[in-house]
Amino acid sequence: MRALELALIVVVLVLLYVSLSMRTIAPKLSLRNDYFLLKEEAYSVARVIADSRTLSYLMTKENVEDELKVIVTALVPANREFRVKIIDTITNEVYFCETTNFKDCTLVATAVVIYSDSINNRIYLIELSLGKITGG
Amino acid sequence: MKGQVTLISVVIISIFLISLVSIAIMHYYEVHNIGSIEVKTIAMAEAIESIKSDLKRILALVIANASRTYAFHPYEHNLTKFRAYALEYLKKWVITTSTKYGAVVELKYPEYVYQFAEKDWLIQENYIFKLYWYKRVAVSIGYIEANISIPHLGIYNVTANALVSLSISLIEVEHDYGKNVTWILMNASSDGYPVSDITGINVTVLYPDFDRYGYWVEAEIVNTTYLGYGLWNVTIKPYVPRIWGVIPLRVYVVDHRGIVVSPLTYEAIVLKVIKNTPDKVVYYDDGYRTILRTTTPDEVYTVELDWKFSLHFLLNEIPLATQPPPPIPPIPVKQLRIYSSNDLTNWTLTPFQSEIWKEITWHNRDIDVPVSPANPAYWFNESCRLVFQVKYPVVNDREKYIMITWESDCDADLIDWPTSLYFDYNLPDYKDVVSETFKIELIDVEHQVMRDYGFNYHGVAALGLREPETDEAYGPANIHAFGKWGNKLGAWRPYGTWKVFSTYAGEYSWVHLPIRVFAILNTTKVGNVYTGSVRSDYYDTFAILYVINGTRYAPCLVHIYWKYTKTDYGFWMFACMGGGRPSKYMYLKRQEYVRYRGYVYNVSKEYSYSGSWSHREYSYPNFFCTHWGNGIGRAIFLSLSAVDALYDVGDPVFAVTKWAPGWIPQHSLEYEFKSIYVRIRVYSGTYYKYWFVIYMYQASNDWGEWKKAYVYSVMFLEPYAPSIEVIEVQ
Repeated sequence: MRALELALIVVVLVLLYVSLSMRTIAPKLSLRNDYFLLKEEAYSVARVIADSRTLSYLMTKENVEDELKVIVTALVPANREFRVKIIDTITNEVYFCETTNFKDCTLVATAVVIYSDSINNRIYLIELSLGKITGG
Repeated sequence: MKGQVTLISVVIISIFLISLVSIAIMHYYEVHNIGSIEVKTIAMAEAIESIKSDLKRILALVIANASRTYAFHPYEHNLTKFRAYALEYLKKWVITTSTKYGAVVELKYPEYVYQFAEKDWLIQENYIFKLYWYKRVAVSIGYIEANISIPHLGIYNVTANALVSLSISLIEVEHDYGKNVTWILMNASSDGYPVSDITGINVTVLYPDFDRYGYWVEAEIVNTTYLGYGLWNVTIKPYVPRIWGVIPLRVYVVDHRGIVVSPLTYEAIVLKVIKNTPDKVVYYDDGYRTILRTTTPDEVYTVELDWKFSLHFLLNEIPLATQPPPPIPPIPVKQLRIYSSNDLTNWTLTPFQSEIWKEITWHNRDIDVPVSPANPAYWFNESCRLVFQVKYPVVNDREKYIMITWESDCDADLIDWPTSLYFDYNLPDYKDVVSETFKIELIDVEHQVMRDYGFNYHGVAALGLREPETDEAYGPANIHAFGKWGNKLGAWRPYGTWKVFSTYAGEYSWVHLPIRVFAILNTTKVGNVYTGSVRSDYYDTFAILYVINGTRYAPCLVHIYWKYTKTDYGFWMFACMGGGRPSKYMYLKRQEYVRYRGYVYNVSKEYSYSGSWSHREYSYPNFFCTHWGNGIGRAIFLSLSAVDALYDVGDPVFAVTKWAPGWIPQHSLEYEFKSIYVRIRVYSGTYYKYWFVIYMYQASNDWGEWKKAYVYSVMFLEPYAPSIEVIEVQ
């Protein structure tokens, strides 16, 4: 019986540990899920920009950054803030755009995709960050 | 019972404990190692996939760059250069991936065999890409492999490969005159898969403009129909007629990546070059004489073929005797090849060179002149002439076949043929153009004194003839001369500088011309070799000298225009020194016809240089003279235009001069418009063009040795120039 009592005490302690740690784990798991989700979304958008040859078309435009913002806005899910940086590795030109509230994001995931443009003879680096404002 | 309940309780509690422990461990892990596996997995997958997908794009980029430039740039046709650019791009790409992904990417360029249209297309190791174009099947292909490691994600040696291709096969071409259309049935493949969406490729079709031969016009694409399996039926306007069995079309296909491929509907043009010289030559020497031309190893024609397939030999232009074939397409000259055959079965690759010619207006006359050797990287165009040799060593050889074709491999380079020709340009002593038969020291403004001759020409342009093996100086050959200075002959001779072309132009300047070296003299001045004075009030000279590989003759084409009327004693069309070595000479006499059974023959006149005399003249010269002895023989063949010019302008004589001023042995051969003892007036506006050919042969001191050269005299006469016909287009 003593062993059984002992075992019951251990069970109670473990349950206590689990109950207490759930308070820590739950937000982390939630955060992790959000981060992964953002990361996947960022990669998806970046690769759509690369694989669809949208960038080849965009780079021929006069206001590259404005056009880029329109395209990315259309591609990203709702309630997402974003920042896009396109680096032309041949000329080192940088094209940059972001949403107004991007700086307020508490969770940001970035995807980096390389895009070689055979029509315009360029190698671009697409750095696309998606962010969320969480909490409070 | 009590014991059983206890046992069950223990088991249940144990199971519960074990599951709690595992939950606790998992929670502990989650708390202290947040998401590392998942993050790594996602990042790994995305990184590898994005690198893989861009590997294909970067390969497409380098192929697009190379193929676009190769197709549309007139002279950037060096794929090795593009491979160097490609390596730079790939290096930049590798650096970018390593800095942004933290990846170590090792690119490999292995050998790869691509299959299309039932043929193997090879990419050699380290070549990255290949272009096989300008035939009915055309392919642009590239293949690379990448070894990707991303240490911080725990990825090592993931292998990715990329194949990029655009391939077109022209299967059939047909037309309909009534509907004014032409159809092309073609197979299109991209990256090894049939192209089923025509919007992914842009097709341009060109056809020859038959009103402006050699030019190409873009056809209108009327319709495209997909037949499945990559087969497309492209309908174009207008109706393109069939020529020599083919409907000549050039096709350019560009895909969405900018990769270009260019097939053609024909691959070779076969021509026949016909010898027109007689089987025997005749002369009169106390009776009708015949020399059979049974073996003529030196009957080698060095001909030029222009883009309209007219054959040029010396100043002869022989138009094509048949309907013209499709034009030689504008592909880089370096890819062109010429094959020769006696029987249309066995073909031998034949050396040729390409030259740039242009028509200039020279004293109100249109004359064709060479500008320079071509840059073999340039497209073949309307200015190009292909120069090659056609040999007829025996009498029965009357026709030779020439096939003009091109390599489909765009890496095919100019063939650096072995040649005896070289230009020794080392002033102040050497300005020599050398072949196995000739060593011609070019005397001119920048090289005024011929070595071992000791006579300053003060800038007069002449040809210093030397023995090629021993370098013995025979003395100069003067291409024109007028008047006397005191009692000295040939006062006013062309003054200027020979411009010599012995190598190809552009980036191929390291390649020696394999067929002929040429030198051009274009001057408005004459100079006095005795005083050094220079004047511009006599005649203008345009002369082109050829020193040819594998032949025993050197032609010089001359245009003369008189700007002012002049009167003087002595007027030379040509005078060639012999350095005192020949012992006998001979000339063919024209006017003293002998009528024998109703025929008219030229008379052979043989003489010896022996005796004490200085200058002799002989009447009624014709197209041939020679001197020989002590191992050498040298003949001069004139064109009939030269003979006509002699008789039109003056009252010509053939002359020999035994000594040059200073009692230098000369033993010359000279064609004079008029005797030096009679005044001659040449009127302003007088123009004549002609050629003389210097022919070297082996000769003893015997009489009659001149016949060795005489058998070749006919090949340089206008009526016997070779002619050309088209046989087929493949």
